Amino acid sequence: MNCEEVATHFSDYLDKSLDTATMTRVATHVIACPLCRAESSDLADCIEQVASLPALDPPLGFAQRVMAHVREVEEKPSIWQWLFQSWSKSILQTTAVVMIAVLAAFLYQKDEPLKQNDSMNLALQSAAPTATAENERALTSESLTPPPVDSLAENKLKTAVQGPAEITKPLADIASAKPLSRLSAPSEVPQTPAPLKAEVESRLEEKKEAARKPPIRALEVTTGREASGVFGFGPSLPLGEMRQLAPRSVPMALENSLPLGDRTTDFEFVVRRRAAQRRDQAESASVDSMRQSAENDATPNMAARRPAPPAAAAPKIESFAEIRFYNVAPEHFEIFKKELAAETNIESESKAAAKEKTAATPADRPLLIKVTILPPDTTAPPR
Amino acid sequence: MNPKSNSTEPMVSEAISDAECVQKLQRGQTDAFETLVRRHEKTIFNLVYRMLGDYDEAAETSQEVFLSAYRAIGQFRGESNFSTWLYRIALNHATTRRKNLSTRQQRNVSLEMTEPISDPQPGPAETLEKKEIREHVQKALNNLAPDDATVILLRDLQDVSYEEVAQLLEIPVGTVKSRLHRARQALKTELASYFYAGRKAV
Repeated sequence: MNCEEVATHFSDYLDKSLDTATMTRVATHVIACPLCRAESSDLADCIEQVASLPALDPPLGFAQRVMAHVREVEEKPSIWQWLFQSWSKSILQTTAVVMIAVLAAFLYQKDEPLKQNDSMNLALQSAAPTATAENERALTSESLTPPPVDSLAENKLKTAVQGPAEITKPLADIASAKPLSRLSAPSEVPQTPAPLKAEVESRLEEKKEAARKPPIRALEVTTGREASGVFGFGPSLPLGEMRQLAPRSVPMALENSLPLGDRTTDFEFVVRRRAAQRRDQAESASVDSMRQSAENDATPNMAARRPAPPAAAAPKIESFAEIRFYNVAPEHFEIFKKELAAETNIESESKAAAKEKTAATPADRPLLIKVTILPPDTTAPPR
Repeated sequence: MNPKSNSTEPMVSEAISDAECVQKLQRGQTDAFETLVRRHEKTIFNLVYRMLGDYDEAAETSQEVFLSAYRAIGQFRGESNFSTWLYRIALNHATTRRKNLSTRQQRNVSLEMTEPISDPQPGPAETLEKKEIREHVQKALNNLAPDDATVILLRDLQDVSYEEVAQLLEIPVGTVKSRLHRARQALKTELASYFYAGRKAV
């Protein structure tokens, strides 16, 4: 091992961190080589000088000052901590209130179907005159018997108990109203509402009979397009027969019939059909006149066509009530009314929406006329 | 890590380990930090002082070291010794400060006036000679590259093992050895003009 090689190991040699073989070779060389021995000695001296540097004491009170600064640093979080503590109560309270509200809303929604069922029950009950408000409440509270969770739930239940009683009233009105199918057969409508049980039974019977009965005819609502006459006051014709009338030349703006319920009616007539035979003849006459006018005349003259010769009487069903809506131009209203009077017995006439019409709608707007056609008087002689 | 200066600390109670103190501190017991400060203040202060060569700068920087350690104690996971972790913080602060001081070239001016004597009281002539030697050694250390000074101070002043130096500086042990060899040669060169000039002349 030469001097250069030994020089690279001096540091490790002095630290005694070389392996044994290398240590021996370096030591042998250092002992033998005065230059390397001097270098090694100088380096050891340097290390010793550094190692012998005195350990100084830090300034007096160093630790206390550090801790004082540490506690200053700690002060800032503690302010936040204080703020958090002061706010924590209110935050907890707010959180609690919000959670209670959410729970209440959840329970309320959960109870909604139950409430609706109760409302229906109450509605049926209220149809019976014997059912009082107290009975309704009692029944509702019987049907609503979930275990009380807490005071909040109890409060909510109270509102749930009170709620249906309020909701019931309109529903009760609807339920107590006559079923629509009974308009055609008023004798079936019980004049004094039966108790609840009887009501349910009668409904069940109706359902059983539903297959045997003809389709509901009472509320057959037509528009001018479907009318069989000029205004079509007779019984409505089957659709196939209606199609045969085309092309029509109808003087009134019947084609503009609006969907039902789009606006309020301008005039309402309640009329009653005349004797069955006469009505059938009139109906056939009006249909014939329509066909003739379609073939011959483009400018209709209703007054000329009205006394048409009677045609073969077709069997017509006219023992039902009917509501029809007509769009009539204002200038044709008088003609319409005249024809209505000619065809039927006008029992009542009202101008319910006349004020609204003038206020909100243009004057040239077609009048919407509702005609309730009642069956002929039962006292009339049968066909 | 068992620095020799730490073994001379007489005041710190050894009843509770660094790890236990750290755990207490991480649980919010600030007083536990005082134990750590008192246990490591002298070691850290001397390391920083020898890195900077200025007593007041060393006191200020050491204080910053401990405050940084306190703030970062939540990030200490116990993967190394607390002392190793604290050394690393101290070396980072000292190196940064040393660069700043080097830029301002104030180190050499303040050095001779600020070093207090804490050695046992020798005779006046001996004191003067030792003080002169120390000043020269410190100047030599100040003139070294920061990495060289660091490795010399850790290994020769603080008596930190190769392995711990490697862990602390996050370099391989072989690199520590070679760097130490280079640093010692550089220090010898720095001190040669003072210590060995006469000998060579003889």
